[in-house]
Amino acid sequence: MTTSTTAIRTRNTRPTNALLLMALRSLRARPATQLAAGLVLLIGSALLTALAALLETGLAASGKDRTLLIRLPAILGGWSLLIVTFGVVSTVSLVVRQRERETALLRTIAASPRQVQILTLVEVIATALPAALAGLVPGVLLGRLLLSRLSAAHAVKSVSALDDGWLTVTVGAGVALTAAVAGAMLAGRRAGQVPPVAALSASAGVDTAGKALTRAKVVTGGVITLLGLGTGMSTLAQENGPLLSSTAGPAGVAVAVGLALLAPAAATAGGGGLARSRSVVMRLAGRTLKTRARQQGSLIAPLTLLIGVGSGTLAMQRIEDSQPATDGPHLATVNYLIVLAIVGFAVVAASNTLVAATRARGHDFKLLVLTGATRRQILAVVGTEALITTVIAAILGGVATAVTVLPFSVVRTGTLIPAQAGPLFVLLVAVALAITILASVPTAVRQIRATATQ
Amino acid sequence: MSARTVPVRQAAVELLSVSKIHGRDAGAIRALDDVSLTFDSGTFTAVMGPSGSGKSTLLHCAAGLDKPTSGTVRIDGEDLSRYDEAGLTRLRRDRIGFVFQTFNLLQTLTVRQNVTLPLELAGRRPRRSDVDALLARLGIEERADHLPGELSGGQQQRVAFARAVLAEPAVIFADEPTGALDTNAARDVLHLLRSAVKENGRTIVMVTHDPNAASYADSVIFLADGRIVDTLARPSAEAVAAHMTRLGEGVR
Repeated sequence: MTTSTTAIRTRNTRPTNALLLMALRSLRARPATQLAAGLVLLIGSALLTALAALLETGLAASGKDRTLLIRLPAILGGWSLLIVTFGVVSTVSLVVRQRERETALLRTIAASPRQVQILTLVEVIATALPAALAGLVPGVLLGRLLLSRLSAAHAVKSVSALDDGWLTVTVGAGVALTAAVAGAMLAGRRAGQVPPVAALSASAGVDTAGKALTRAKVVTGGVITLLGLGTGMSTLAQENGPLLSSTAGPAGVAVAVGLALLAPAAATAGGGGLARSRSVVMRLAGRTLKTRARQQGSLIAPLTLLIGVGSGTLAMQRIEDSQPATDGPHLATVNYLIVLAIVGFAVVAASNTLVAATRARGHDFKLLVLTGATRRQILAVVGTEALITTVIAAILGGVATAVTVLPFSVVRTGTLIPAQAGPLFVLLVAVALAITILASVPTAVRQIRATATQ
Repeated sequence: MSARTVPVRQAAVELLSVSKIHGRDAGAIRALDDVSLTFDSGTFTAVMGPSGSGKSTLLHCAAGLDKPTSGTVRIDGEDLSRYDEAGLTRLRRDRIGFVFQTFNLLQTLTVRQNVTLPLELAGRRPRRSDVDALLARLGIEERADHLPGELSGGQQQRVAFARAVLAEPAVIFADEPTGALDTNAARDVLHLLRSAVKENGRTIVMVTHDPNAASYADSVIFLADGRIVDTLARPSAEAVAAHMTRLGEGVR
C-alpha cells in the first residue's frame, strides 16, 4: 500500500473540459432543481414570445390593426419583462446559492474564482438555453390564441395570421436567456468570492451568512417602489378610457417588485416582533425568520408578486368586465393568461426555494430533537414560519394591489374600494398559504423522519 | 508558475511569527499567537491541542486558505502573502494536497474524476494508466468508476488521499483525517499516510485530537491558546495522551 514513486505523466489540456464535465454531472445530479429553474424560464420565454409575436404582427400590419397590435404588446410587454427578469434572476441566484458549500470545496482543492464563475455560467446556460428555446413553441401558440381572441372580438380586422419571425425569436428566447446569463454572472461573481474555509466549517448547510439587505437592493427596491407609487398616483389624473389599465397595471407590478426586493427587511421586522411572543413556537419561528432574513426574503419575494400582481390584475379585469364594453373584453384573455403565468412562476419559485431551504435545515431539526423539542413542536414552528411568511407577503402584496386597484376603481367607477377586490385578494393569499405549507411541512416531516432513523 | 526544485531536507512549510486574530475590539480572539514553525520535507507531523487551541487556524493559515493577521508563511520557499486569490489557487493546486475529515469529494463525479479534478483544473490531464496504477496501490482500483456515495468511509478517504497526492504536492495537510472513520478504517488510512512519508518522501501535516492517530507521526506539536507549548519526537499513544491530559488541566 504505497503511493507512486514515479512522477505522474500528464499532457496539457484545457481546464474547460473538466469544468464542462462537472457542470453536466451536477446538472444530472439535480434534475428537480434544474427542472424547476427551467420551468420558470420556459414560462417567461413563452410569455415574452407571445407578446413579441403580436408586436411583430402589428409592425407588419397597417391602419387601426397596426396601432392596436403595437400598443397592446408594448403596454403588456413592459411589465411582463420586469416580472420575467426578476423571476429568472432570482431563481438563478437561488440555484447557485444552494451550492455554496460545494463551491467552497472546489475552491479548496483546485478551482480559481474565475473557474467557479465559468462553471456557474456553463451550468445556467445548459439549463437556460433549452428552456428558453422550448418556450418559443407555447409562446407562438399563445400568440395565435391571443390574436384569434382579438379577431373574434372584432378588435383586429384585417390580420389573420401571426407574423412570428426573427423579432419574435430574438425577443422571446433572447430576453429570457439574457436575464438568465445576467443572473448567472451576478451569482457567479458571488460564488467566486466564497472563501475556501467555508467548506471546512462544521456547521455546513445552515446558511446564515451574508447581509440581509445590500445597499444596492435597498436603493433599487426603493426606487422601483417609488416609481410604482408615482405611476399609481398618475392613474388618478388619467381620463376614463381604454388606456387606464396601462398605468394601473405596471404601477402595481413595480410596487410588488420593489417591495419584493425589500422583503428581507420585512422578514427581520416580522421576526423581531414574534421573538417577543409568549408562545415558544412563535418565538422559535420568529428567531428563524430574523436570522435567516435573506433566505426568507427570497421566499417572500415570489409570494409578494403572486399576491400583488395576481389580485391587482384580476381585480382590475373584473371591474372592467362589469363595465359597459370599451375595449375591455379582448384584453381579458391577455390579462388572465399573464396572471396564470405569474401564478405558475410564483408556485415554482416559492416551492423550490422553500423545499431546498427546509431540506438544508435537517441538521437544525436534529439539534432541536436532541435539545428536547417534540416532533409536533418542530412541525408547529415550521408551520408558523410558513404562516408568518404568507402574512408578510400578503401585507406587501396588498400594498401593490391597492396601488393598482384603488386609483383604477376611482376613475372607472367612482368608488374607492371595489367589491371585486376583496375576495380575489383573499383567494390569492390562500393560494400563497397553500404553497408555503405544502412545500415546507411535508419536507420537514421527511427530514425529521430521516434524522430519527440515523 | 516558477520552476520547482526539490533539494533534500528543504523546509516544505515555514511559519514565521504568525498571528491570527478573529474578530475585533472586545470580541477579538487571538487564535494564533506569534507562532514560528518549520515542517521539513519528508516528515510526518501531528498538530494536537484542546478545542480552541488554534490547530484548525494553524492549518488554514499554513495552507493559504486563510490570511494571517501578521507574520509570514512560506510553502516550498514561496511567500504566500505575495499571491492574490488566483495565485493562491494555483499554488494550492501545484504544491498542496488536502485530506479532510469529511472527505469532501464531489458527489456528482466518479472516483477517477474526483482524483484527476485538481490537475485538470490546472490544465493538465494525467495519463489514465498512471491514475489507475495509483488507485491500484491504494486498493480502490475496482471502485474507479463508482460515485463516492457508493463507497465506505475508509474507501472515500483513500480517494481523497489519491486526489491529494496525484499532483505530487510539496506538502499534504490532513484535517482530522480519521475523525469520521471506524478504528479499522482509521488504522488503514494512518498506515497509508505513514508509508507515503517513509517510502515516497511525502510531507504530511496532520491536525488531530486522537492520541492514537498522532502516534503514527514522527513528531507531535502541542498547541494551547494559540501558542506552541510542547513538542514530542517519536511519540507513543500513551505519551501523547499524557501530554494532552496535562494541557487539558490548564498548564499554561
